Amino acid sequence: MNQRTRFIIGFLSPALLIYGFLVGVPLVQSFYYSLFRWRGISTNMKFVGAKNLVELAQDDVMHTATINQFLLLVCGGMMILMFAISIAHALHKPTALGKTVQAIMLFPQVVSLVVIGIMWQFMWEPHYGLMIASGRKIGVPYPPGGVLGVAGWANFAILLAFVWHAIGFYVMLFGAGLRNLDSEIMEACELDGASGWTRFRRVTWPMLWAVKRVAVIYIVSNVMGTFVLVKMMTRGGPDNATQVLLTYMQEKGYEQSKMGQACAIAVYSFFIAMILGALVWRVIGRNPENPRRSHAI
Amino acid sequence: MNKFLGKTLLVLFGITILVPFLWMILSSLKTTREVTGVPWAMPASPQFGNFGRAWSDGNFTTTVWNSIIATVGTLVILIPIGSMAAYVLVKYPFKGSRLILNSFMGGLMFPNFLVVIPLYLLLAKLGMLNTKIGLILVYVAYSLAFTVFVLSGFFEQLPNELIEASFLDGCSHSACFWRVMFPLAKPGILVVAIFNAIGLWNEYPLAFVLAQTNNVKTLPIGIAEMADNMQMTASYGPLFAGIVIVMLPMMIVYLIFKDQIQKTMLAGALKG
Repeated sequence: MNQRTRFIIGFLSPALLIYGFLVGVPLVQSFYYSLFRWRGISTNMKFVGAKNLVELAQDDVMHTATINQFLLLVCGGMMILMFAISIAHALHKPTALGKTVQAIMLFPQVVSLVVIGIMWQFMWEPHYGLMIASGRKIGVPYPPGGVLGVAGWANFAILLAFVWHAIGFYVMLFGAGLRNLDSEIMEACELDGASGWTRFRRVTWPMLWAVKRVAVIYIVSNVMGTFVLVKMMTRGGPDNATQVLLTYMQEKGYEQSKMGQACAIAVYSFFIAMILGALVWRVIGRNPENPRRSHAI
Repeated sequence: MNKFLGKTLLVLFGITILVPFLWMILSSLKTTREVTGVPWAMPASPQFGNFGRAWSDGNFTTTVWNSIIATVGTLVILIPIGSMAAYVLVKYPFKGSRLILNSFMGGLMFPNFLVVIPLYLLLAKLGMLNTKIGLILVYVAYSLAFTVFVLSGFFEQLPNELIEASFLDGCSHSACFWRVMFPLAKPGILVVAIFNAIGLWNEYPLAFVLAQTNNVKTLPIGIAEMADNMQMTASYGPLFAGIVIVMLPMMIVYLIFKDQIQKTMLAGALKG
């Protein structure tokens, strides 16, 4: 073994060992454990094959969790994309106001999600919560039981908190995308008389394809990772109405001690994430300016 | 976009982001009776005592100390091994180096919490559940993907001529890294460290499952428990004060390093 090889191995192995042992191994184990029925740390594991997966496919809460995840993805994703691109546009010309907004919009990202969750739980507190008290003032017909205790309303509250928390990052992302657009093209638009909405629809929006792709992939991974917000705001309730995959997995594993089924939920989520990722790649992975070349690759 | 419309949008957006935080801060200065009154009313006299009560009732001395150890301990391991790996992967390309870099990138995309059950059992078997070293090692593992990914970008930009020149001066491979390349990448490494520190300081899901006992409990776990307890005893003023104690330092750190942090977030996003 020459010096170079020894150096490469020496420098790479600490990271690879830790990563492989604590990320790679558990990932593979998730698949393996999902084939057994067993409770917690006990060694009594019974091989049940695909039974866990089949049972989950018929589980009502699992359906709710999947639908909630999907609604978060579609509604949350649309809201985030729409708001983020308009706000990024408004921020494009540097002003004092813009600078301030750019500074504060990432506050929700640097504060712990636990705090965000507790905060939003109190925003909806049925008697003195800011959202409830001010909403009542302007006549929003809130249900009497408090928003977080009513299915539908609670899902909406979580969606709102999710968008509020995530949006700053996407504004920043689209802001960078807009800055990277070729200023010559924008000037050419101006000369050709294309401005405002036409320019946005015909030129800016298609040219942002790379940023849009990144944004959508990040939204998918954000939504699939949703756990703390739900845990803090509703604990999956009322009556499992706001459950998402990760909260349901945690409940199965640690509150009901069904480790095999919990791992099956992990496997299920993993495949959903993979399929969504592949879908995103297919639908908007192509550069619209140069479709043929990308196809060949 | 219409100038007036844009301005209105920005003002509304800014207010929407700020109002919940301002409400927390306002409520943290109220008595419990005032908190349960009109939410936007000012406190009759600011209750700074809430902060002291929050600190002692929430057991903050312990959890803050645990959080410091978990964060610093993770960075002390993570930064050297992360930068070593990133450096080798971009400056010493070999068969499979691309694949390793891509597998780190893949780790960026899937939620850590997905594998928490096998991870929990693994740590239990090793006797590292509810230990500081267990939590730190897990944090190192789950921060590596981002760290290697961003740092590889920094090392890629450093010119190869510097490596060759240091070899001519008689440096070995590792001396070249520690004496020349690592110091040159320091500004980037510092930003990655700050960025990781914020994430680790705030981390909840993994700590929630892997570190529940008092000797390892971190600040986010502490504040979540405090929220449960104080809601039962209905002492809201101190609860909001506790929340402010947790969130304000991160906001200040962010405001100090704002530009670098934004750049790092974008570096992680735009190259992917």
